[in-house]
Amino acid sequence: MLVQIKKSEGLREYEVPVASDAMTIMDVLDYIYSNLDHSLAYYRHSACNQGICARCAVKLDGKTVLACATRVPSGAASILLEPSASHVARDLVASRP
Amino acid sequence: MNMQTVTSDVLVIGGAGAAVMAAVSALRQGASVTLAAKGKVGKSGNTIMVGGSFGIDGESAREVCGEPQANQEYTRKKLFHKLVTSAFQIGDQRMARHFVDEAPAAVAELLGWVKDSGQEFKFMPKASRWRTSGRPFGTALRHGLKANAAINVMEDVVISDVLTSKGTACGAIGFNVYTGETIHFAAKAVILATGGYQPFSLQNSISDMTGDGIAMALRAGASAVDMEFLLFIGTILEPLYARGSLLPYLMSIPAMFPPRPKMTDLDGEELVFPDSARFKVKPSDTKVNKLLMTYFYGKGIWKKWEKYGNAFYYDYSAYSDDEIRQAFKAFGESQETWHRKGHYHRIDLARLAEDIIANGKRLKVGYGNEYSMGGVMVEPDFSIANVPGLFAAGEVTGGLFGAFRSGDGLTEMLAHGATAGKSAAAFAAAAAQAQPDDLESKCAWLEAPLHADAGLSPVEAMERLYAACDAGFNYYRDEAHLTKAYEAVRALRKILDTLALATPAREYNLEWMQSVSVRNLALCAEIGIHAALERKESRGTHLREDYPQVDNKNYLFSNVAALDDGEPCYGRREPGETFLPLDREVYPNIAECIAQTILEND
Repeated sequence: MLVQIKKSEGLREYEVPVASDAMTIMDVLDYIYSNLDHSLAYYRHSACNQGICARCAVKLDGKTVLACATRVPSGAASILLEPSASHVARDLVASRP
Repeated sequence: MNMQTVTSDVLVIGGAGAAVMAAVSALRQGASVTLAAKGKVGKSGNTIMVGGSFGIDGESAREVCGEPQANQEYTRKKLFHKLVTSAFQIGDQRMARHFVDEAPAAVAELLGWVKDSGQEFKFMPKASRWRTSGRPFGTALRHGLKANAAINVMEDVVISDVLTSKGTACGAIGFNVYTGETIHFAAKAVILATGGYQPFSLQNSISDMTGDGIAMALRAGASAVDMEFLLFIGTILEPLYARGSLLPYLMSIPAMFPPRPKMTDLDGEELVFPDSARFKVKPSDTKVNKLLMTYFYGKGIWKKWEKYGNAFYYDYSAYSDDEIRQAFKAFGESQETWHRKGHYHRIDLARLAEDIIANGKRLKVGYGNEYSMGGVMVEPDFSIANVPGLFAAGEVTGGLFGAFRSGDGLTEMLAHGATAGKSAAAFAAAAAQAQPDDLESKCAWLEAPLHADAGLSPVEAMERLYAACDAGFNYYRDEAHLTKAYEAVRALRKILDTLALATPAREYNLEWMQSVSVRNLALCAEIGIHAALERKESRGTHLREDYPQVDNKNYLFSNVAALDDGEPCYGRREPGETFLPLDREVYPNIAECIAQTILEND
């Protein structure tokens, strides 16, 4: 799946292997951060990854979602991820989620 | 050096129950207080990961917390006895006594915050426990903090080190994760309430459990105790959208989820829990099942460890599709007070039921790290022996639960926080603010990865650490696997001073945050593995395949570690003051020891 991310320096594209729609947006971001781009900023500190802390909001194809509680859209060839707010610390992280 | 300085009498580091209770308690004693949290208070720390409930003894629940129906047979004496025997006798009995005596008032204070913030906890009289969930617990804590508005709260701050002046704690250094600004906290007393350490890839806890407080305390001159003891419970591996959930633990409790799974390895071979009255637990002892399950099922998993690692199945093939769907539906309904309809946290329970059915009625599970019994060694007033001005509270401490936690971490954090706050405020009242003599060196340590041109990425460093501990320092252990893990972590730690980052940006730089946590976590892991190698027996959660016996003749002590010129050095602590006599028997294995000493099912 092609993943487009609106980073602070501009739009970047990543190819992420997605075996099924059991994968979450957080899994996609973790994959990119761990394997493709260590510089990527997305909300991951003090993160519960269970939909409890509700701090990992991003925009998925224009709609604000929690990355950890949202599965990749079934069968999608590409997705677009953007920060959920206009004030951004860096990349996908709002200044104060 | 150009950086923001924040000054107060008492600095509390942490963002969950122990930290909030400590901050409120210190403020009440008249201290000015700053609370620095890695995340957002009420939305961070292991507190919000609570599986279902927490409790105290029935006498105190009635007398102190106003629960008239509380089970009066579950006495303070019984709770104390359970704590001591579940610790496999190496817990600090002074801390167990503190837990029994001081927790009720702290729980009562929390219940006041619960009520005032409109949250609902449900009391279960027989077990003397309150049912709740992470969000309402976090909301109540946040309310408690807001009700004490004089506390200066600084959120989303990573603290990297405690600062000292001639060996006395006098503040801390850290940075704001959003701006990257370095902050110097000046304080007359410092309380660590930062949680435990979990060096594994499968956890059911928050991402904060990186041993920061333990490692900071060690670098400041403290000792760590019982670091070989880590608690594991059933945790979902797949489907991915549910990974890390502790739902399998709840599904192992018949009252919550009636269908009884057959546990199998990944080849379908049954993992056996003996059907014997000797291993049956009472409602107030359900936590003991965590250890019994890890012991019995883990024995089978270990046989194919090289092939499959930490993975097995909850197999529901004895049930029809509709029975499985109905069980999840009923479970969801029982959770509706605290979760969205049909959900357990992020998990859509109907979807999970369908995915289990589609997977041959099997749920893929591993044992995930929940809690660390080991941590900073503290005195009964929660001060730290070799470091005046430094205090610790909650999971970051070691000693209360010894080799196995049968009491509640949530109760622990409240009781510890209340006393640590009081002690730190008293210390601060008699102390002058000192200038740190290590501000520059500890700032340089923090910032080095930002300025390095080449070196290992903290991402790869953390992956190597997880891989080593997953393979050799997990819930079943033997000499060969532990030795390999120890060598791998030692080798890794040698290159952790040369970490380098993909970007020098200070704003929300995950690698920079990880550069702090991986150095802390690796230090904790090295000490934990060393202790596990030293302990050539089984005790509590330390399950040695090659040394199954619980050897009270030769191993009735705690392993202790400190740093000497940056390198771990090791010693022992014999059981100190005891209120219950020590049992010097040798038991053939963990299960027998549990049956005879904790469950008393002879």
